[in-house]
Amino acid sequence: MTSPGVGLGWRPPLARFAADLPGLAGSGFAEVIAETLHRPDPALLELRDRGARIVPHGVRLSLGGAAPVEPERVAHLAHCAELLGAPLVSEHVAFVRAGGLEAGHLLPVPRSRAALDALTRNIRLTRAELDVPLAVEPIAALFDWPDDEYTEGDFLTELLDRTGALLLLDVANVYANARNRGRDPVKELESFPLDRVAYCHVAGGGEHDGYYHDTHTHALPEEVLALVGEAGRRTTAGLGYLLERDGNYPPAAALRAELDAIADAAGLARIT
Amino acid sequence: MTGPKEPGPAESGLAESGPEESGPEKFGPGELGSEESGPTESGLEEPGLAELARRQEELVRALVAGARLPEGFDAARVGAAARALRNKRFGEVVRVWPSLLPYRTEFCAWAEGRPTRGAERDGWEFARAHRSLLDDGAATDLAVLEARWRHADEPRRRRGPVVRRAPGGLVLGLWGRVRVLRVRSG
Repeated sequence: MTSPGVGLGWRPPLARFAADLPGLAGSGFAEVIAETLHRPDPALLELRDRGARIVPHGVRLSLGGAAPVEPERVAHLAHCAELLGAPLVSEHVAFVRAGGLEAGHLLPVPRSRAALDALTRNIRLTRAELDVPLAVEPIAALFDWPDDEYTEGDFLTELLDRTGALLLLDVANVYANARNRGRDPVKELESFPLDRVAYCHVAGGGEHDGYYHDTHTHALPEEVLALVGEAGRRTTAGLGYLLERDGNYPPAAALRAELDAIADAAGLARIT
Repeated sequence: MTGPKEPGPAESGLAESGPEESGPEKFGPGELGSEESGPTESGLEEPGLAELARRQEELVRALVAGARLPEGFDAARVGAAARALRNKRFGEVVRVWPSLLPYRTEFCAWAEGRPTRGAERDGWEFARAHRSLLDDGAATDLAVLEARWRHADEPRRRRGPVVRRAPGGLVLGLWGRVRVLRVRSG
């Protein structure tokens, strides 16, 4: 197994920036939203051809939905893995639609036996079409369901035990959820199944409307970087730590500085 | 959809801008992926899964369709989540319809209780409901869109000739190809 590196969430506005990162196709890695790959960007394919490890990341499979995951969406995710020569794929512990309505974003599932059954079924259906591992990402949510039967850590451990899926550890989500509930982010982190991390996400956010939002459009707070350090002491981190930036792009120098800050916090080689 | 191309150097009379080629290929459920099948069609033989489906639908309806919040949820937190959803939705509308950027507040107010029909359709419905509010850029974009599409529950592309007002001029359409004509003074 190769050692962990620093990664970048690939987005079309970042294509040039990504191509210019000396280490991205070396010790680093990238991730791309699977649903944007119906017409793959040539710049992304060029990165692939340079040998970069690129993970397709689904956002609309709705693995946590009560309904079975749609075969076309699973097939597309599998196709993305093949197209990119990906080492693994990822999705979310969440649902995005119900009753014919799109929520428009990732919603938390109740931490119940029924939700475990739904997730287990959908993860199995997805894994059946894949030749590579699947990692699942627990999301940030502003609210919880009433009468949760499990803590988040126990729920995830049970889920991964049942399905053989890996963990996509989003450090920013752990921070956001802990902060919005008055909990200690390190304690929350320690409760997760850290022995099977496929890779990690890191992202910025900010306070708005009374809560901390994991926006992916703000600078990395010090507290999130600190949590990267804590994670680094507790998990081998798989492919490594990947910066997610979805908009409000800063100058390239600032983005490079953030990638370096992640590398330094995690004790990894810089890719800039 | 992007805005119409800017007209070339001013000439007296009507200045023609280029043909509109951007914009959605279709409006309709296809944009959102396949429709969610109901419990009877999706093999939910286990009562636990049927109950999960019901609870998830209730929550989504509360978040996006103005339905009553189910028992036990923290109303303040769910309200904040619903507002965040509307802001995210606005961001997606603006990506396909940049001239709507000035209208975040109005869009989020309008979107409350109205489930999304996809970014292009959301932009169109919002613009139609706020014609008098729109600046020239957004109003022209709306006129161009409506020269190409006939508004309906399932919109149809126009084939016959159409003339619509646009700020400072007209939008002409025929066979789905659209020209923006602006009156130039002097």
